[in-house]
Amino acid sequence: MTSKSLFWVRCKENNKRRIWVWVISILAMLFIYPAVMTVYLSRIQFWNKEGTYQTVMIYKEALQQAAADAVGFQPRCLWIVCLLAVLIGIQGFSYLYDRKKVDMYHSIPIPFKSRYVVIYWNGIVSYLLPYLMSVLIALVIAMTQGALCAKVMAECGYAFLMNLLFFLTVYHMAILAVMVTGNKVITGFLMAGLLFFDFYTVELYNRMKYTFFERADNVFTNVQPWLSPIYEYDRYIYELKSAADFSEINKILLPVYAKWAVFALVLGGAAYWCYRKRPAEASGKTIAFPKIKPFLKVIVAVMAGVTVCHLVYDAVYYKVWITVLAMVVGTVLACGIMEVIYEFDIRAMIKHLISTGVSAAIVLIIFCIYQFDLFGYDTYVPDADKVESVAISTDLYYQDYFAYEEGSGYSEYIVGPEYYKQNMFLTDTEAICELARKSQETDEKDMEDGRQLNVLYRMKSGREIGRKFYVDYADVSNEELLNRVFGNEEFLEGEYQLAKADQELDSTFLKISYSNGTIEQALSPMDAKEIKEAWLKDMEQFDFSLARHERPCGKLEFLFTDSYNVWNMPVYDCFENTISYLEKKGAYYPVQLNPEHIASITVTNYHYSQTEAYDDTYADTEMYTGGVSEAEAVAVEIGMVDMEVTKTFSNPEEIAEIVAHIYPSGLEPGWHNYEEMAQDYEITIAFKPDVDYPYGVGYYYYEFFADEVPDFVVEATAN
Amino acid sequence: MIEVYNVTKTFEHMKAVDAVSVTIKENTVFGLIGTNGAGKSTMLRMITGVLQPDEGTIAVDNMPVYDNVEAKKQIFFIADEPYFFANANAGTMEHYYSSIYENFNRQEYDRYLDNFNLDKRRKIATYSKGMKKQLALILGICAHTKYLLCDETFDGLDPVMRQGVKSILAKEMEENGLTPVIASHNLRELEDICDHVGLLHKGGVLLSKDLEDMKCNIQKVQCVFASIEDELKALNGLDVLKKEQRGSLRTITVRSTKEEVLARFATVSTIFFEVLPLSLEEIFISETEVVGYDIKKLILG
Repeated sequence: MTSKSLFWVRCKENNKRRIWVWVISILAMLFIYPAVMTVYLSRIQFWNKEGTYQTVMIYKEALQQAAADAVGFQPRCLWIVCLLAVLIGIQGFSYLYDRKKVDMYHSIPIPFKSRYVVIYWNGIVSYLLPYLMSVLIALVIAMTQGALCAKVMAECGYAFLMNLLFFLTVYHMAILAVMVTGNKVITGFLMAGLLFFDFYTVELYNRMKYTFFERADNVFTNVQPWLSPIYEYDRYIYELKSAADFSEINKILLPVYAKWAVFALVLGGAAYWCYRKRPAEASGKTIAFPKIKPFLKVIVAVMAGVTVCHLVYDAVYYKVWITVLAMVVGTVLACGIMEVIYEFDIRAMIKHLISTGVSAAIVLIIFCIYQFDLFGYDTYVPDADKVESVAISTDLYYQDYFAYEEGSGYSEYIVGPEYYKQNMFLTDTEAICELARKSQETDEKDMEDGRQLNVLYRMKSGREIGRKFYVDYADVSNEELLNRVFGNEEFLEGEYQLAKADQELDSTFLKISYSNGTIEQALSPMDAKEIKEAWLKDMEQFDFSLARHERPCGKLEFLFTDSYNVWNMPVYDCFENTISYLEKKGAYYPVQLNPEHIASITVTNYHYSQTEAYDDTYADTEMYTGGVSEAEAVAVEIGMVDMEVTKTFSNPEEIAEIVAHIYPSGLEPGWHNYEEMAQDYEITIAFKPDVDYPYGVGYYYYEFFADEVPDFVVEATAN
Repeated sequence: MIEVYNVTKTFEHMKAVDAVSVTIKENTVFGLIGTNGAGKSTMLRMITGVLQPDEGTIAVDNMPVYDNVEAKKQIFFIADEPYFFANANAGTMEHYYSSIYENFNRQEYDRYLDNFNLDKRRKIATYSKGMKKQLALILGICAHTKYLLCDETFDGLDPVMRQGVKSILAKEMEENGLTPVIASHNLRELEDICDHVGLLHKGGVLLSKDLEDMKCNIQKVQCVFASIEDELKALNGLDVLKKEQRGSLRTITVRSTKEEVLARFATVSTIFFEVLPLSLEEIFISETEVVGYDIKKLILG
């Protein structure tokens, strides 16, 4: 026989031993493609009968979209393809676990390389053939239902390549796991380790960073797993599903294809190398290469030790010695467990103490790095000359951001930091670095109004570094620096999406309104561009001083009803252009209320200081006695119930007095110190029905300025 | 010819085979004898290319065997626990092995199955241990390789079957030039079949000799000496492997030819003197005792 025909004979013989894998693969593929295609199309046909689709064109588009969903990027493929790859990889080479099988297979005249190629190839074919057949059946189903189009075919092709590369990566990983181990259980452990190592390590790194470093940024620079195909598949599949067109799909997928191809190649090479080097006597052992045992043990033990460190450090309220003790015990225990696994003998726990010692030492070094900040993470402030630009995330009130795709009609929600990253490029790096440096001098607890700023330094070297620090907004010496940071167009463009909005303003889903906290007046979407121009012109005078010393007299709201994304823009008294435009449109109303319009004002005094004491007493009693009823009894006994006092004022003089000292809740974006408002009081206003102002139906919430609560209110709401 | 030269194999920290050199000539029956753990299976697994020696070389017909298809084509290995595919019957195995070994003789295979009363369609999993060994042997014989390596293959066969297999091996040797290599700790099984014996002990080779030579070079003498001086004179200069005393009767095992022993004892005065034939088992026990092996631990068939 020629070597070519020998290869196929061997493939055939090998497949006879893998029939059950074929059956599983075929069933899985039939489920994820033809069955799903049938269900998806049937659903669309049912909805069509129900009259959901108004035109034939819309119905056809829905059918095509359903067909594309069925054979395209699908989250369900992740675990099915992953499990198939693991199953096929392990089953193919599982003969290596059994000495009897090894004796037979390795003594017969078939080259080792040829055996590997045959098993490897059959593994791929047992995935590929059912995949292609199932997709073909699904496409035929789609064609018979009139759902087949170029988009469906293209998405099917992209998904095929993505699934194939994902399969190969996990398949090679599974083969590598088999080659390194000697039995199925340990292969399972190693496989799980290979699949999730990157994910777990990154998660642990992030958590340790946030636990130990005060200035760890959790907004811009959260480290993402890079080598976990499962994480990446899960992450990209949703991006791909919402991708507007194939150019965006290419943009997402091509780097992924390249990365997985390289990763699969490296893993495949390593798997084959291990196969050639694997001693036949490794069958049934835990690890085929005894020399790697200590390394595996140290890696697992260090991970376990650091995990214990992270868990305990928080739990014991940062007590160092307890943490050190716990993590050393955890590390030693993990080492012992590894030895027990290696030897299948509980008495092996105390074997190989050198590697145990090394593991404990590494864990202690890691702890010291975090505990004593040996690399100066918390004290790091970059040299302003080396910083290209900076993005800042403040803790201002909630804003939505979204990406609006050209011509697609779809918008995609983006989290704030992602938007800042893409749009905020502050170039006064000196001011920001100076603020960061100043923040090192004062503890946040000693600040009068310390505010957290998350900062992304874009270095000239191309590196991105994230940190957070606190700035005392109440410290006048910071004001000039803060004005330089916030009082410029770069901040405006990064913070307010309206500044760069263009196509968004043409959206048919856009609703614009102006609110003074009480009256909300709708504006026409046609006004969008003009009002944007007016507001941007006014914002030229915006800086920290304005934001800190003035309160908005109202806010503009841009609501997109398709996604319910909201943009809020503050309007200050000095915003002449905006106010004049609003007045022209009859939408402007002053923030100061007219007492004559008010029927009554209801003030609730929550007496928070007493409530906190009540809560503490209640909690302590419940904790120590274990009974809710006893806790309540104690609370009643000490008179700590019904602390809220609500009083309604309808006397015009009292109303006028109250109105002079209140401000709408939620109108100020957060530049001011929250202590400027009296925290104990909540004010609800009911308007007279017959006034000419367009007050809505219902109640409006206000707050008292601190130290401006009228005496009669204090007395009336005392308990 | 299979040439094993200075081969060493270590499993983790234990030396299973230590600097072994053995030559297996063609068309002889080579018996590899050793106690449990002596390294017989390891030796066979290395000769068949399953294991790679840490040191030394193994050549089959002057070809290195590890991952060498041409060398492996000359060998069929029957492991101590032969592996058959799950749910396979004798027909399945025939199909598989005939795709591997070019000279596999299917007619002969069917004939042997009939002779051994093995049902070709019955699942091998339902066979007894002995039947599985028979099947493995039949497969090995029908593969028509030059060398047939059997690891404890005769263990588990009933005496009739054992005799039958031995005669098949003899026939194959005569007709096809087969060279069986049989590893066993059961000396009695090999005594009547082997031409050459390699004695393994604790990973090393104690001896590797033709059986006849071996028998000729170790003698057992029973005698009653006339005096102590006669005993000392007779034994002086002889390589005494073992000496037992029961009353005045001495049983002495010496490494020497029969002629030398007769000549030596002719020079002294004995009341009773007789040279007894040594069984292979006795040779084995003597040789292993010399190197301090506890004879009680020896497992005999």
